[in-house]
Amino acid sequence: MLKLDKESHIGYISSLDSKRDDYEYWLSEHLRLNGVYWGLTALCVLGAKDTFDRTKIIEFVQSCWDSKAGGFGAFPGHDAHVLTTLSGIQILAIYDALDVLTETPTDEHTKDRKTQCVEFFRSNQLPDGSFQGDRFGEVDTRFVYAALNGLSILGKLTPDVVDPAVEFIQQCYNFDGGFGLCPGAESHAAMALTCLAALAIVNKLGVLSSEQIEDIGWWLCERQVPEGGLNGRPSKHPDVCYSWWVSSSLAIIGKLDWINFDKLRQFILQSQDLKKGGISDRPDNEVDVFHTCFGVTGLSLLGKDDLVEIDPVYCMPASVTQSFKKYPY
Amino acid sequence: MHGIKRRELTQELLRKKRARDAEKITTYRTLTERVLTSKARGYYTPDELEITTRLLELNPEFNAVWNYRRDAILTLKEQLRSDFWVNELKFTTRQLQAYPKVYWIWNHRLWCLNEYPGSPIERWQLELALVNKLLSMDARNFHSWHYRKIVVKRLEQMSRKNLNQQELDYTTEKINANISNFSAWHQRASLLPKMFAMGQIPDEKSFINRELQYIINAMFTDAEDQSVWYYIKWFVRSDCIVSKLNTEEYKNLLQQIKNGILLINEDEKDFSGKENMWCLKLLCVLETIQIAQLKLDIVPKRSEYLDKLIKFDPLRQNRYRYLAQRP
Amino acid sequence: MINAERRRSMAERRPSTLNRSSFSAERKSSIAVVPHLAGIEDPLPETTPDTVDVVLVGTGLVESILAAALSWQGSSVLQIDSNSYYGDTSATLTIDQLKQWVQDVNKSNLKCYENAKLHISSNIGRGLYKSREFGIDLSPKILFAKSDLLSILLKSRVHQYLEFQSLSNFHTYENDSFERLTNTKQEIFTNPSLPLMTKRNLMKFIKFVLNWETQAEVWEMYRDKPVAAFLVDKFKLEKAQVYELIFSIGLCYNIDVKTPEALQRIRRYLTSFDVYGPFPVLYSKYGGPGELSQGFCRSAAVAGATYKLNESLVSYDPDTKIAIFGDGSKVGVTEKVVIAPTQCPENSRNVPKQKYEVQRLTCVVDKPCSEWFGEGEYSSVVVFPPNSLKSGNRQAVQALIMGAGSDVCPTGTSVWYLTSTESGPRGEMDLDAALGALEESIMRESSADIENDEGIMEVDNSGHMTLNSVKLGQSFKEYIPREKLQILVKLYFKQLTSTPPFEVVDSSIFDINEPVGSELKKLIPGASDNGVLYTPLPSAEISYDEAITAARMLFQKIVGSDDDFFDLDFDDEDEQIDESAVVDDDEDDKMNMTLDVEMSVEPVDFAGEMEI
Repeated sequence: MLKLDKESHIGYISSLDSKRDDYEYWLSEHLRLNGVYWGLTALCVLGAKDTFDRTKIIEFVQSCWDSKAGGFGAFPGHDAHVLTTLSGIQILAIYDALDVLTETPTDEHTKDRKTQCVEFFRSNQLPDGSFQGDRFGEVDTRFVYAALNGLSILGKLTPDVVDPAVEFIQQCYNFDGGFGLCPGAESHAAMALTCLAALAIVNKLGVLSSEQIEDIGWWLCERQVPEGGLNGRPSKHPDVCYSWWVSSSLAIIGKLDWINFDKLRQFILQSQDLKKGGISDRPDNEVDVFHTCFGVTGLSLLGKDDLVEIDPVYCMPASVTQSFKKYPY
Repeated sequence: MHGIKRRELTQELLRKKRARDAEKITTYRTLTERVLTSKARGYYTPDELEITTRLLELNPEFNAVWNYRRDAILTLKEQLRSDFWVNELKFTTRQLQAYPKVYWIWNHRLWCLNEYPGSPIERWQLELALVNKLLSMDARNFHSWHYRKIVVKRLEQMSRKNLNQQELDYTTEKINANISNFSAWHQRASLLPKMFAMGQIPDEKSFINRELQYIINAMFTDAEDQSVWYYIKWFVRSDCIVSKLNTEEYKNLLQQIKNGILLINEDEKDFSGKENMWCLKLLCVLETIQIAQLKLDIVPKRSEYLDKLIKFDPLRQNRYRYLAQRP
Repeated sequence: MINAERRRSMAERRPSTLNRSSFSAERKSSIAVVPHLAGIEDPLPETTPDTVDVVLVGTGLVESILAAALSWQGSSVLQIDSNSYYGDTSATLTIDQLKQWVQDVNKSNLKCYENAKLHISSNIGRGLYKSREFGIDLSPKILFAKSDLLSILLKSRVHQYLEFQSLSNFHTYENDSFERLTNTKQEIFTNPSLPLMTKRNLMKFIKFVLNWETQAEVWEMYRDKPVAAFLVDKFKLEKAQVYELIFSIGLCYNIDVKTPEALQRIRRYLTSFDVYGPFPVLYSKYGGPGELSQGFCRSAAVAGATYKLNESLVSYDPDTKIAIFGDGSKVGVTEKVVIAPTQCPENSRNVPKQKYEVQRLTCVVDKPCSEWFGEGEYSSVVVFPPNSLKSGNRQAVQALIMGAGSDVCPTGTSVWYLTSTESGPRGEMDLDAALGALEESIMRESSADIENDEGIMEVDNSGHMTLNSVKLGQSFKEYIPREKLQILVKLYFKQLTSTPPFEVVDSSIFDINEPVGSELKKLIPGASDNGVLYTPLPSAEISYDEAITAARMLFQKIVGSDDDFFDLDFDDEDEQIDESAVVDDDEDDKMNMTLDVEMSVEPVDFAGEMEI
């Protein structure tokens, strides 16, 4: 049985920022802030939270601020988006540095960043309860999740935001027990997580009947393929990132044991690159920080590799999320 | 990144890669800096627009550049050539052919269609043709399906005609072409409740019967395919179907499906020595309805099915144990 | 010497500048310029080299593939042909060339052919049609999308000199009518006349056959038994399906074909489906193997081979290693002389036995036959299984129908190639019977007003289908055709071959002069062909399956191993690392977009956005 090589993954993550000779490094600049969140979360789970330089990271997060839009972008100069704003907030929360958002701005006409973030999230909610990613209007349940998650961390959830969002999510529930990215869209494991976690954040899992919960569990557990990995929808290849999306969904509805832990573990461990560290989407493919993060968080849920506890709802260390105000306040 | 094979680069190859990368990095960074600077200054010119084209060809996921491009287009509206929008759409087409799964390209294309001068209905109809073409090449690309729904919705708005029937026919076409097309079955399951609710099904009982034969046909043609089973599972419990039938008709429907499943399962055992797991799963569902809901007096075999499932589908055994404990 | 009576060559067909849709202008690589070939666009050489590694006599398909393989591997090659055209046994000929050819056969000049009979209507020549508007294949073939020849065509880039079209319509002749094949999941699913269990059984079989080798436990017991027994016992298939699978999908000639051979052939068809589109088979425009042979010769010429037409081999001496030609010139050979049996020198004693007969009947008719073709296509295959014809045929008869859209005949006409493996007069009878059946069918189809509700798909509101569509229609036995079919050309001949009917080339034919054990096999005194290798003649096989295998075997005999057989890489090294590293992560989807964009497969429709 393979083992989780924590050291090599920690090494891999800490080396990420030094890859400036690789073209791929620059091509992924538009994901940098998300990448920092994935890397940091992975490090926390691996018990190496102090690997990055906390001050430098916080500075970096702040530098990603898009003052025009009032939220965080992926990199300095990039545009704010609901997903990257969440990543910024999550990183600060993990470092217990949310107070930098309430620092008084130098310009007295400007509100503090926390207020602006809240406004950014709220202003991107549409009449039907859904959220757009930014002013250009793309709608997706990922953004509902990101907005509710972010507002939750900032302790600013309100019924006028929550209730329509919950209604929207319910409309994304499909005939097969899965959830889609918007009403009528095909079920996809990532959406199962975003919908269930969003409901969990606002304490509204109860809007789902027990029959629906069973159907959801059934759809999710069918994601496991004979070799042990999890796929994102029927007849597709397994991928390590679904080890997170599917497992956390099952954990949220209390049915994590409906999949086989040992075989899933095997699949994730086989996707490690034991030479240079990191985890890839499946065995023998190229590694990246995204899959490294979701590989270790998935393993953490399975509870067999002596990892730090992860909160399936927020995808952040449980030690951090337990201090969040629980809605309704 | 998905689907990139791991490569061990030798020192020599690594050196070569570095050399090639160095050039690419310089180009990329120069372009990026230029665009982001112009963006920060709110500076929009046709030249800048051209730069974004080059940058987006290198990295179509760079959303800030798409944003800037859109703002530039809106600012330069008057200065744009008459064939601008046609070319802009061609640009996104090329991008989509190379990267059919990048959200940002789809978004931009949609934005273009909405901004298209007049946004005539013909433009949207062409769009439908294009997305159908893409779906014929990759029937499971959910971006295409999602986009298609948006286009159809727009067409409905513009023509003030409801297109549900046309959409239903499209799913039939796709399923006939390949019954493993889960996305098409999904579409069908999303459409039928709406169509029933809107009274768009002329002879409901007859329709349901034909649909029943359709899915039985699918079941026999390919009993390995999950799409069909998910659909059947929904069909037998769906309110829009069940509410149209009286008890006798419902019993009959369930029995027909059950008979088919039993036949298939027996045949499978005969041929390969193994039973079909989906058959067993569905038999459980059917039996639950028959006994708990319809109060039929049949010999319960549920625990036998579940035992077999625990044995032959061990990955999910805890779910079967859970079901076994539930009455 | 450029023959004014020949058809336009493949180089001459290409426009000098490309004028395609805007999309292709953005493609990085351009469509290739076709290199010139001696005896066509270029004059024949005055002299030939003093020494070469390999002399190839005959420019048939196998020989030409071999020439290209050897030339790219680095061997120096001289390829000659006694004809004034390329292609030899695989040639594509004009009517006039055909006339000459038939004369040569009957004068016993062309070995391995017998009994050639040719009838030409007076409408050709001085009438409606010119001789060079026709390109008749001596050995017509179809190319499976998943085949070794196609891979080699792509690898060697010879495909760039050719144009391919798709062929999706396969018909089986049963009970006096032509049924279109039901072999895809789609067709099985939507066919309302197939019982449910039959659908299930067919699908089970199809899924099985795609991976049949790895499931020996299923077929092991039938290894030496006819596949028909296997299909009935194990998959409970009915006669109609069994016949379709064996004769139309497997394209076997004989009901006794053994299980492994048949499964291999059935699988070949099914895996070729959907590689480039909803069809399993391609063929080349302007002519089949004739065009391909020429393509490979051009490729070989680019790699350094020398060509001479109108040249024959007089003798070869394995001791001095000198080959003498008909014009008196000589060449020293360092490696091998390889000869096509049709071009063996006088006093040859080592030609392998050509035991098997292939009987062919080729007709050009004055009907377009588009009723038989798929949409946007110009050809189809018709199979007459054993016992389906009035002659009580014991072997199947296979027919390849080529319409004018494939540019092998003028508009309004089509070419019918019929083949049988039956020997002797029975073979001719079977061919005639098949011709009769085709004739009857096309006269029915093309003249009748076919009522609209016969054989059309009925679709109701929700898309449920209630009737099947059979393109060629059911038998209209009571219908009497008003006119008789005009046959413009009718050609019979018998070709001999050393390759058994449904097998690939038998390697033992290459062993004639090889040392057996420690003893050098006796050279035959007075023979002009000691020490040479003979190539196999085409067999009745409708696919190109045997060609690469044979070429590869010969290559191995000459070079010592087949490692370098078309071990080519024309790609830019720069692109290599990025592209080859990317693996499609949707492997389980049958989503195969056109993999090699340079392969112009007509008539694939890129409509929609492109047109704007």
